[in-house]
This record gives sequence, C-alpha cells and structure tokens, in this order.
Amino acid sequence: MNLAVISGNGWLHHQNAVHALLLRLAATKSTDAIVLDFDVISREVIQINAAGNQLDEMSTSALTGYVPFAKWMKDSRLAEDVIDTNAILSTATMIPAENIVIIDARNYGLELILSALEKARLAWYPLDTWHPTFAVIADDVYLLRLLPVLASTFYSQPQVLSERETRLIVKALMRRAFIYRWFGPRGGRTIEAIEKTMLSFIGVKE
Amino acid sequence: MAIIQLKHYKKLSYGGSSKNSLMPLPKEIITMAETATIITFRPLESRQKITVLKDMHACKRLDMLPDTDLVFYSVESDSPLAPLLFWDAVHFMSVGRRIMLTGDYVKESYLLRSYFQRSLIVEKQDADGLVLRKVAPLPAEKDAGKNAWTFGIPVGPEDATLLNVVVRRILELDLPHKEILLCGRPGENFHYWDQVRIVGEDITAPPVQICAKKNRLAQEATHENLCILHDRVFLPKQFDKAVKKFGEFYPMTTFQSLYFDDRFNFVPRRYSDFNIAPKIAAMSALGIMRNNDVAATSPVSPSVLPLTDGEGFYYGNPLRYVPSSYLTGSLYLVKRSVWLICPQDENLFWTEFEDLDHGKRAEAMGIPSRINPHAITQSLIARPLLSVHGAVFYESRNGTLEQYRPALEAFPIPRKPLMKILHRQMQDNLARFSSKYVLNAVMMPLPSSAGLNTTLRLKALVQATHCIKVPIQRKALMALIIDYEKLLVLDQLPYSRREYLMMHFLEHGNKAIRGLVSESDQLLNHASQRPRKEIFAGTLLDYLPSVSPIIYIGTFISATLLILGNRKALYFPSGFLGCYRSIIDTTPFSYYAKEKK
Repeated sequence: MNLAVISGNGWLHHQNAVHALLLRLAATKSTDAIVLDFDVISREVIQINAAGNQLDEMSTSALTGYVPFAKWMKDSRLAEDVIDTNAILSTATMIPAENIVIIDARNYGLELILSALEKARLAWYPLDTWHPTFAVIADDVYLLRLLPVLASTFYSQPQVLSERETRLIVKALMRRAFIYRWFGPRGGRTIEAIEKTMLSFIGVKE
Repeated sequence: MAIIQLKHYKKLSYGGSSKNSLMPLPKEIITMAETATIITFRPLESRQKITVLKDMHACKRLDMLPDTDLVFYSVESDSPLAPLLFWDAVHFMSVGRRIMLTGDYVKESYLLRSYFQRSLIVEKQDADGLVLRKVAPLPAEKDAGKNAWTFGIPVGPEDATLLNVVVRRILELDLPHKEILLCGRPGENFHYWDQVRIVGEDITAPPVQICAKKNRLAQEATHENLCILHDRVFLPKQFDKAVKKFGEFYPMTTFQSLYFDDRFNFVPRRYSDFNIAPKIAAMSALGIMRNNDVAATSPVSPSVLPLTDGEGFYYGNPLRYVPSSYLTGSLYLVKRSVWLICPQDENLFWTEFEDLDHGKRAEAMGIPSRINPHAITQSLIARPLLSVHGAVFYESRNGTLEQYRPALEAFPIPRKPLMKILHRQMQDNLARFSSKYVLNAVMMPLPSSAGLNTTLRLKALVQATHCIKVPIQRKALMALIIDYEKLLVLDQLPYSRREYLMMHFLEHGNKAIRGLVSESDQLLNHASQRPRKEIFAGTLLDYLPSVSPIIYIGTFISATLLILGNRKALYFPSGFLGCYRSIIDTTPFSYYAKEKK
C-alpha cells in the first residue's frame, strides 16, 4: 500500500488531477509515502490539459473509497476522545480491497488526525490484503508534519544507524551478557536492578 | 500377614510418620493384619512387630510386598507419593487379590482412573473406603520379564552424523533382542541402513509432526518394552542393568539427562528430562485443538500457547512426585501397551508443549511419570533456549524452586558449538533475511565474518534488523517474526515473546525494531553463553569430544560437584563412583561417529 498526503487546497481546486495522480500511484504498487502538494497537483493539471485526458469510468470506480474525516468522529465536534474507533474499523473493511482510500481531513487539527491514524493502524492490521493507496487530504500547513507519521503508521520504516550507534548497542548488550555470564540469571537481574536504582537516584535516565 | 509402615525420606519435607505428625493407626485396621498386609504412613499406638520401609521417595519402588490382599490406610491423604505406591502395588499384586483403600479424604481415589478400570473392579465403595479386586493383568504387565526392546527414533532428512552416534550406541547395548525403528528417512550419510527398520515415511514435514511419528513408532514396535528417544539422546552403556534394577511394570519413565557444554566434561548442565508445570492445571484460559473438538478444550491448544508459555515450567526433582510431572519427550521408557492407551495428541506439532499435554493426559488416566535413577543419558546437542545463561530452574528436594548452574559455567573452558548450525548456513540465512526485508537503498554489504564471533554477529544483526521495512499487518509481521527466529536468532522464541513482538510492532511501529536485538533475551542468552567464539559449528563432529586425559579430570570434577554441591539437582543412588561412571559411560566420544564394522 502506498501512502499519500494531499494538499487540501489542491484537492479543492483540482480534484480530477489528484484522482489521476492517485490512480497512477496505485498502479506502481510501491510502498512509498509521498506528498502531493499544490505544485505537484498544478503540474498534473497542465499535463492533463495538454493531453486532453479524461478519467474513464473504470478508473473513477477505483476512487470510491472517499471518507470525510467527520465520519471518523463521534459527533463531528472537535474535542478530546471523539475519535470513533468503530467507524475507522468499518472503513477498513467496508471499502473494497481494490479501491483507493481517501480520508478528507481538511480543517481538522493535526493532533486529531494523528490519533485517528493510530486507530487506523489497528483497523488495517488484521486485513490480509491492503488497499493499493491510503491518502489523507489535510490542510497545506500540516503536509510535511503528517507525511513521516503516515509513513510509519502502516510500515515499520528502516533506520540507518551510524557506526557509532551500532557499536554502542552491541557494547551495551555485551556488557549485560558479561554480567549474566558471571552472576547467572538471578544475580544478573539483581545487579541490573541495583544499577537502575542507582542511576535513577543520581537522575540519569536510560 | 504384616503391617508395613512407610516413612518419607526426611529431606523431602513431606511430613513425618511419628505420633507428633500423624494420628495413630486405628485398632480396627490393625486387626485386619490377620488376613491382609497393611500399608500405611501412620504410627502404631501400641508396640507391635511391624516392618518399616524408611526413606521412601519417588525413585524407590514398592515391589517387595507379600502376595496377599493389601490394605492401604490413609496413604493418599498422608503422602504425595501415593500414585507411585499404588501403581507398584497393583502391578506387583497377583490376579484375584484385593486391595482396600481406607482412611482417605480424597474426592476420588487414584485407582478409579481409567487405566485401572478393566483390571480392577470395584467390590465395595462407601464412606469407609474402597475395595477393588484385580481381575486381569494391567496393560503394563504384558510380556513382563521378557528382555526384548524396541528403540524408536523420530528422524528427519538432515545430516545423520549425530544419528550415527545414537544408533551405534544402541547397537552396542547388551540386550538379547532389540529392534531399531526410525520414523522418517535419515540423511544419506547414515551408516546403519541394514540394521534399522524405517517406518512412517508418509508423515510429512514441516511442521514437524513429532506426535504422529512417536505414535507410529509405538504402533510399529515389535517388542513390548519401548524406548522412544530423540536423535540426540546418547543412551547409557549399562541400559540393561539400569532397567532391570528399576524393575518391571514401569510407567512413563525416563533417565536423568545431562549435557556438557564444554569439550572436557567440566560444565554439566541438566538438560531436558523431566519437568513439572504446577500452574497449568489451574489455567483458566483454554483453547480448542486443531480438530475443533469443543469438548476437549486444553491449556496447550495452539491458540493459547503464548499464555501457556508464561505459566512456568521447571525441572522436576527425581525424588519427589507432583501430579504435574511430565517427561519432556527426549526419552520415554514405556510399555507399548501403555503408550497405545495414551498416545500423544497428533493435533500438536513439535515445540507446542506436546510433551506436557501427553504427561497431563497420562496422569489423568492414572499413568504417572517418573525417573529411573540407575543411569543417565547425555544429550549430544542442546538448544540455548533451555539453559538461561547456563542455568535451569528446578524443584529442590524440599520442594522449593532453585536455580542450578554449573560451578564452572563462567570459566573460559573450550566449548561445544552453541547452535547446531554451520557457519555457512548462518551466513546464508542472514543473506536470505536481508534480501527479503532490507530495503535495497539502505542495504549494507553483509560481513562474511558475521558468524565468527559474538560481537560481529550482533553487529550484523543490529544492522540487518534496523534496515528492514515491513508492513504492520498481522500476516506480514507473523512471517517476519518466524524469519527472524529461523534465520537470525536461530533458536526457538518462546510463544509469549512472539506475541509480545507482534503487539510491540502494532503499538509502537518503528520503535519495536529495538526489541529484535538490543532487547532480545534470546540474543543476550547467546552472548552470555558464548561471549567470544564457538557459536556455530564447523562440522557436527564439533559436538563430540575426543578421548583425552583432560576429559577424565573434567568428569572427576563434575562428578564431585554434582554429588557435593549444586544443591542436588540430580540424584545418583550409587554416590560419587556411580556418578563418575555414568558420565564416562555416556560421553559421546568422537569415534562413535565412525561406522561400526
């Protein structure tokens, strides 16, 4: 499933261009997370106009996974604890597997969208087949803050560690291994507990 | 006729047989001694000639009873050893004799369980007690006294180096009639094709259908005495003497088992013989087996294994008996008829607590699990999972939970390989994992030295796991965790750990990657057991020590420490010399891998 964050402004003015982009993206079967900002959408508009392309019926049927964010809210009020988990679960199962999911979250705060995405991870988790694309339309100001979160909502993403970071992880593990080797499971656990207490006493966090 | 007073071995803390500990034997029971033999733990109020059997423990058998009717007074209430005592008494008793159980406060007597039903008929059952008459021999009595054995080994198609060692030892055993059955076809380098019978080639793998294989071995066995063993169990040279010394009519029995982690017998670990799982019986979370029989819910069904895993399993003490005792599946000495009454459940596969399920069902039927202490076996290989930082937890003689760790565990003594994986296999596995999960853009060249030492291995694993991209989707995560276990950790993950990792990914996404290496208890265990080298095998011969004077010194030190120290995790009835001899006799020297002409 590829992931997209769509400019709310672009969606408002050029829905057809966004549709065209999403369909092309879905066809790639990649697992990337991309941003479709206003510039990208504008360029698509120019290309469509130049080629005179129109979306055919088959293609538009793949776009029927449009869900207004208000449907994921209990009673459409902006307040704490208003995310409707059941609605998110039913979105995941009700939208046919071949359709693109588009969540229209324009005019909603970032925090609310992020907590809804956490629930979305739970909703999509048991599905054997994921939708080809999961897109979120958001206010332009949030696009770049939303994108990395969306990327790691549905995928555990790779992290490139420096040589030093790698060495530190291995060193810490080997140090613990040394303690357990010489003191056994019971002794090792006791020493680790003492160490933790001492570190917290002098105010060092792990 | 006689009165036999039993007294527990004091160190078991089972309770004494004095007037301070128990009420005296009632007079009306004493009068019964005129016509029957009375067996009790109760003291007598008046002075009377009685036979006292001291130091009763689970390795002692009650096989010296006179051939009379028997009266067990309050034995079930006074002793946890009652199931073993009843087992021996009813098997050694002649057909036609009666056994009376009285003075007990138990809901239902052990002798009313299904195993005994066809041979012991109830003559009287009321508030005063239970009278049973033996009308037919019990299943374990079939072919009694016949010294003929079938050895059954479930095998797979992999390298047969270690299987050759196991089979050569069986061929050496001094038994008049023996048969070796292999369930499955061994690897091409197997030496003894003409001395074994191969059965069960139709049983498919994976998953490893170990229960189906063991059941098939029992069905195909020619002899009534059945020894089912894994292809890593090296039997004692004095097998024949040990089984004769223990006596006939044995229930589910095994030998204690050791694994020497080093090449010179300095580091003896107790390894996979006899366990207890005291909390399983009270487990409220049950599941349904693979046959979807809703009437047979079980705490070891595949769907609740992560919960079962957390209930705690400990090595049992050979001298004690608890109803949750079970043999861990490595070695069964059992009568074929007994096995066929209580076969393993073929709904379970290997590592799905099939041994626990079997022991639990056998006990419920009235077939106890116990140790034959007159010999030991050695395991040729060991899974690191079963020794946490070289230690195991076991039930001590007085019933407390103790940690047993060899005294020389931490010392830098040359070791056997930690895992039965060759260097090149490890390298191939790492490459397979990387090609499947690591994103091409961030893929780093795999170090060819990753298997050489622990630091390099951990470094390679950190790099490989931090570079993966995986959907947080149930199916994909399950596949990832299975591959992580089989291709990177190369050791079985506890079911609870698998479940934890899945949930960690679901809740924390990227952060869960840390759990794969830096928070992995399995890798920490590997690193503490092998801080430098000797993680992977060059060849499987690395597991077999060569004959050298140092090995005799190592055995001497180990025997001394096992007898004097280590809190008596094992029991050697014949003392230091017996222990020393048992270890030497079961050391799998490298020449065993060569073909015996």
